[in-house]
Amino acid sequence: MFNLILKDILIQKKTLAYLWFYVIIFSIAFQGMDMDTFTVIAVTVTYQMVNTACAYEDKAGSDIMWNSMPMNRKKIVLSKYLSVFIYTVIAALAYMIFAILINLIGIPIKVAPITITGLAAAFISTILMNGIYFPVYFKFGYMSARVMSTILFFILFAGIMSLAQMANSKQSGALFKTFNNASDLQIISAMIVAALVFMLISYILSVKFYNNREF
Amino acid sequence: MDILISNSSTQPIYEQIVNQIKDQIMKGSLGESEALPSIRSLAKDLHISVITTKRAYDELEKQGFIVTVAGKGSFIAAQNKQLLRESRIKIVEGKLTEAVIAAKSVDLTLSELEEMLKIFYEEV
Amino acid sequence: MENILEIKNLSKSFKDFTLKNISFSLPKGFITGFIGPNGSGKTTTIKLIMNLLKKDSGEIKVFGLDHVKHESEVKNRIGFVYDESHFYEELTVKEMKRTIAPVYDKWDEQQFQSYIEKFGLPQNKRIKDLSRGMKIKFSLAIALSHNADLLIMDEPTSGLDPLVRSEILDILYALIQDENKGVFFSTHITSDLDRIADFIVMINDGEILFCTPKDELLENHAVLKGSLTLLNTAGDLNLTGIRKSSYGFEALSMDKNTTAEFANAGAVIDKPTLEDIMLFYTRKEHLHV
Repeated sequence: MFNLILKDILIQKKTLAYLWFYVIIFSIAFQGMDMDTFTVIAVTVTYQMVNTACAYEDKAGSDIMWNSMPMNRKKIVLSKYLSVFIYTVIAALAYMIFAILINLIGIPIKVAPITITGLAAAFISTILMNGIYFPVYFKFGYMSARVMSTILFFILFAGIMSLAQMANSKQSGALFKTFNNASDLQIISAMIVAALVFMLISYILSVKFYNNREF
Repeated sequence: MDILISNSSTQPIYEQIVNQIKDQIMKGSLGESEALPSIRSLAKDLHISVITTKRAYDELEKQGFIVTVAGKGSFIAAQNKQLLRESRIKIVEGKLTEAVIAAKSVDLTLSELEEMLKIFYEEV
Repeated sequence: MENILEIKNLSKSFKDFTLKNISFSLPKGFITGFIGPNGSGKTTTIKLIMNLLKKDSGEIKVFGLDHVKHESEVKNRIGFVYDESHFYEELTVKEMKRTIAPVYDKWDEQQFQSYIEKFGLPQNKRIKDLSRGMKIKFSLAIALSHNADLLIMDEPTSGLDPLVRSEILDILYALIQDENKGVFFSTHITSDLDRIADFIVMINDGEILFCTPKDELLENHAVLKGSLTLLNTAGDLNLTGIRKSSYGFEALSMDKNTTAEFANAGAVIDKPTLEDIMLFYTRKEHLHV
């Protein structure tokens, strides 16, 4: 199954260049704004990579190939879900390398370090987004899921922006007042667990849809 | 072993194979106990179906020209020696008749003919 | 003779096409041609065997195993070549192979390398830069490099030049030297099958017309051409696919023995090719008595 994830990355060799585009442009664009730039970058990069990988699958008609081979449909679905995490990690690595380079060369761009809240927000956002996208993708195929995916991205982008702002700011919104007694770490852990449960449900649904797909 | 298949012939392919193998046995280019290629490798070399070659071999076996040993393959049958000899003798008789007729047409005598036969018999 | 593929009462309905209760079996050690016009159900049948489409009813057994219950084992032993390559165009030959090889239990890298060399496939070339013939050869290399016992091919030779087609047929001949393997070759280019096929299964409009040894099929049929008056007076049975023109008629006789009287009356009788058989069987008019 890991060869499937590797394949997803390999076929995007060329588009990985866009990764740097997002890292650099977003870092510059969001200079001085009170939000976690990393979260935005991570979510955008992950969205792009998931979408591109699915687009290539569709272009090749690879479903027909994999399902003619002794390839478990569950594995196909699982590899897509796991790839989301891998992409986020890749985004993080690129961001860190960018930060190091900036410091070494001495360009006056403020590149904030990755915070735990930032990383958590990134994971949670991508889980939410793909948790909704994948079942649609596995049930209806790439073309039909594309519309959903674009809408999702824009809706959640707005949500992510505010989430990123909340994660960084000292202000607590109405939501956070409820958890006033709990520490930040506990809140984040709870949210991550909830997100993972959500992803599990999404995975089970995706497997069910994909098992019944016809090509 | 040379086998040439004609696609345009009205003769079914298996029959062509049967006849050509029979010819070669008669002519002596296929000797007794000589191994024949397997039906599959023959099919591959002739670019025809395995069932066709199998049918040819079955027919040859039915007519007594080859024997198939399970697990070993097909071989030219031994019993043909008698048949072969007789058919060969017939060929000699035919050729001698031709020679006699040709000799008579140019007024060669019997003793001249015998002389020629002796020379050729010793030379060849 | 064990059957490498058994299909019983297979049915599948679509909006505008139905596969009606089809049944046929293929013995192992032979090459079976699957012929029929476009849209007759060939690809549907193959997709059903591979469980790419879910059957409505019926039974499919490959190597004696149910194709769904033992899906993984069955697919490990099947090599497939489809008319379209479903590879990732962005990857190189080498990268694509690296993605596929781990999926098969009995992947044989040496075998793969020898095929690659034989076909002259450049390993570092991207799949999008390969010609159609090269892509098919790549599919074939993969299909034959995991010790598959059954090779399923769906229109693999369409669009290929005669030299490449001949190369592919040579590979099939070599494969079938092993009497435990089988080939299921679906095509509408019947000239490829005229010589190599052992059995022929014909499908038309979702129904199986026949499943017979090829030699028998070609020997029992004859293409008949004669005058129109002959057709009217003869009143013969067993003619199909009749086509009339102002110059006469042509038809396929399904029983060569009955054509003797036609020959005496000056009709032309020809050996049929598989294409003739497919053509005449799928023509709309039939004359039955």
